[in-house]
Amino acid sequence: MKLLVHLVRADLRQFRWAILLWLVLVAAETVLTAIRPAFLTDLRVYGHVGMILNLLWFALQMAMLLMVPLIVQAHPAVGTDAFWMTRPIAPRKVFASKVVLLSTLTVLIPCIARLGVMLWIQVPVREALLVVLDSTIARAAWLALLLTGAVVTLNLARFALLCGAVFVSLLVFMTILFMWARTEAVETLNGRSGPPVLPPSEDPTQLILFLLGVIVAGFGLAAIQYRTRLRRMSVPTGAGVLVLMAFANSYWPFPFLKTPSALPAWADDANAIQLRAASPEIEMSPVSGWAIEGVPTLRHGRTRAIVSGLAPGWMPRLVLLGGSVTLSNGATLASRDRGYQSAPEIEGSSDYPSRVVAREVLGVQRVFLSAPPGPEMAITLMLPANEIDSMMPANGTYRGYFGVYLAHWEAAATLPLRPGAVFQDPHYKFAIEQVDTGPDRQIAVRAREWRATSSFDRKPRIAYAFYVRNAQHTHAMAGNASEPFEGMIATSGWLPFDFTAGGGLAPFFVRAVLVSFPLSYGLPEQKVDWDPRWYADAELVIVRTTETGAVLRTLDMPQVSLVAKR
Amino acid sequence: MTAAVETSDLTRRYGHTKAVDRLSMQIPERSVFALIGPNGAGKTTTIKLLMNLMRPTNGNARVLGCDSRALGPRELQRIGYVSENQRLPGWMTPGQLLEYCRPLYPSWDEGLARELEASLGLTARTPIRTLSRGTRMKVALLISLAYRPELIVLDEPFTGLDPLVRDQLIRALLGASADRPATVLVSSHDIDEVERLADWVGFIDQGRLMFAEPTASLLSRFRLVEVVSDAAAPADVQDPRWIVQGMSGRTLRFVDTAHAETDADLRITAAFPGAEIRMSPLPLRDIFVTLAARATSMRIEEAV
Repeated sequence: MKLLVHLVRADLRQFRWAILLWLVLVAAETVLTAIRPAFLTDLRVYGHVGMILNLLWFALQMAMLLMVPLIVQAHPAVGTDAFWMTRPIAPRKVFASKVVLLSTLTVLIPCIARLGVMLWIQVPVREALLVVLDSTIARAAWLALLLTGAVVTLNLARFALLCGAVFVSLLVFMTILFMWARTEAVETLNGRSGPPVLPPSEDPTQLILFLLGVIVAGFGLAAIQYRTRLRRMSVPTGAGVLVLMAFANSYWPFPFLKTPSALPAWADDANAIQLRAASPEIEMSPVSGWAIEGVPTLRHGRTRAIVSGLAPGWMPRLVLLGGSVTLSNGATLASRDRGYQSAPEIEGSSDYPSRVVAREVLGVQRVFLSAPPGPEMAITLMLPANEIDSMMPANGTYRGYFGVYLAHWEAAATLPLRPGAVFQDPHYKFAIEQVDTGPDRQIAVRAREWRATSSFDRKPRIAYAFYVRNAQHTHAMAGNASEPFEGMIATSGWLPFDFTAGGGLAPFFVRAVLVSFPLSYGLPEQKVDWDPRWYADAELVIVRTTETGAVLRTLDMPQVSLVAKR
Repeated sequence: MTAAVETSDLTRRYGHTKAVDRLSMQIPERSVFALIGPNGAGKTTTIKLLMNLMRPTNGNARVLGCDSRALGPRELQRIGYVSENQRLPGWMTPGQLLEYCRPLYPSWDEGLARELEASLGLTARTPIRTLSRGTRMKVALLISLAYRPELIVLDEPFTGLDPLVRDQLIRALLGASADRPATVLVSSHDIDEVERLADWVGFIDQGRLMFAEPTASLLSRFRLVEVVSDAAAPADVQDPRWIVQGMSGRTLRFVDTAHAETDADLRITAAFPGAEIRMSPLPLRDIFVTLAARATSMRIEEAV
């Protein structure tokens, strides 16, 4: 233990300025993340702070790329000339000292800082800890990768070369993967397709296991490299462990992080949700912008599908899983592709389904929102032009398989349209800071929001939408919510660990949000008449949308006509 | 004789090249053993094998009774290592390096460290990377002697140093082990310095140990023979124990490598009847040059 402390102290002393700079960067990023929403009254300042945060994120990535090899290579695990190798210092102690120092700097401190921010803005402790667990695993995996590169190279230049080589290899691998996926897609489009099954629900188990595999393989490789100083021992062992973990991962039988189905009991009843076509007609039209070498020109078939049996507040979304048409001449043509989504008609209303469900949830007669005037036609078939064109027009029997994805909409809160109004869920908080009426008379709500979700939540995906309505409930208007400033450079939103306040996919973010309510929603009939009395009595309704899952349904059209449409 | 270092068929290959080839030797305890040989002979590789910085391809070595491959912190507390190639922590000052090393050695002798610091004239307070090569070697020697190691391994410690610094290093080395003699293994090209230090010499060429014996025995064994005669010619040198150096006018010069034998004088006189024969002892440096030159010419002959 004494030796471990001694080694860590030596590294701290050697890299004191680099470490200090790192800590300053982490602290600056943490503080700015926490206080940035306070600048939302001045969007210009808010934007500048956002840009600084982006730069800080970039600086932190660069600093980590430099710091890990520098600290590791102060006691290199390759070569024969390192000072420590001929001193009474056990290799395992050197390895342990590097792990302790680097884990503290690059995992522990940023995670504690992030936890501090979350607790300061009153994220519930459980949610905050789960987000931190998520970040810890992702950061440790990233550290393990960098550690691996650092222990098998002698100096920074070789580390940089290795990184470059890995980057190029990844590009080659991605290209091969892309070509393989394209071949698969072409084969599917040329006639090979699987049975219609619903894709499994969201399950981050494999991602977490993969990250744990990276951690075990990376740290294992580093430990072996320090012990043997032989790359021919450590690299194959690390690669072997990774392959083994990947193999175990693909056959992992316990999806312990899988989101359980949140479908209501009534949805399981096969008679509850039904699909039918509004007319016995499928319109076959050319697929625009579709030209892949080796794939015939395709025609897609569309029809108006109607979903019935839904309870109020449930929004359907159709996803084509497969389908075929048997023509009167006996030929059966199967759809060559799947996965196409559409917003179908809800039984009893020819309006766009979002407007229908929003009316139900908000209890108003009319809702203004940006959407097509009516339901979307559902894509039912994808057929090669050379097969179908010669038979057109044709009659036959159609059967399609669809996933009916159900989202539950509910009014989560009704807030007065004034500063200080707050809504909070366990994973989300929305607090109004300012309500403006612009010169064009549109309402804009400036608010702070945070979201804290993690792979360990095991909860369905939830989104929030904003509407204003007045107490008379005559009509409601949908708000367009967005962060007032989007970063000029890539932020970590796409990464499994967050490092900035931006980015909707990050497990945690805290930011300002600008919800604007325009007077026009694209369509002539979706123009709002300005009425100051209506606005004086308006309130903000937050609608919580929960993606609960999907049921498999068939769409049967016993006597269908395939008609060409340009 | 107890051996501090013992190797048996020690071999290290790089692809098809043998850097060390079936090297078997013993370094007696408390001896100062000089490992000499031409460039690329395998001296540094041998030392790295002994220090567990490399793994042998075949054979084994025991250092202070421990298999070199298992050399760990406990053994390294008893070994001091100085190498021209070693990368000292350049960011530290000499004082900081002393502080860093002190807790690693239970036998650290602070008094000796101060003495060495003074005798080596180590007053620098700047980072090691800014120091001259000579001062860096002094620092390396200081931190390798201050804990009174039982075995001191020096790999080319004098290369590129001026005579004053060499002298300081040798005096420090001898002074540190005066009251408690340690075994010293030193590889060097600087034969003059080695001669002052070593009581054993091992000659290595192409990874093979040609011989290893006490310096006194080696010096008594080699003689420079000068034969002044009208008749003498290099072709007359038939004895395989003689290494011809050349002919200059009427004087034939060769080195007798077995002069310690009782009949050496008789053999030479008998080979050159009537000639004037002068014999003189060879310094270690000339012995090294003679052996290295012969090894080179034999390789050339083999290649031809």
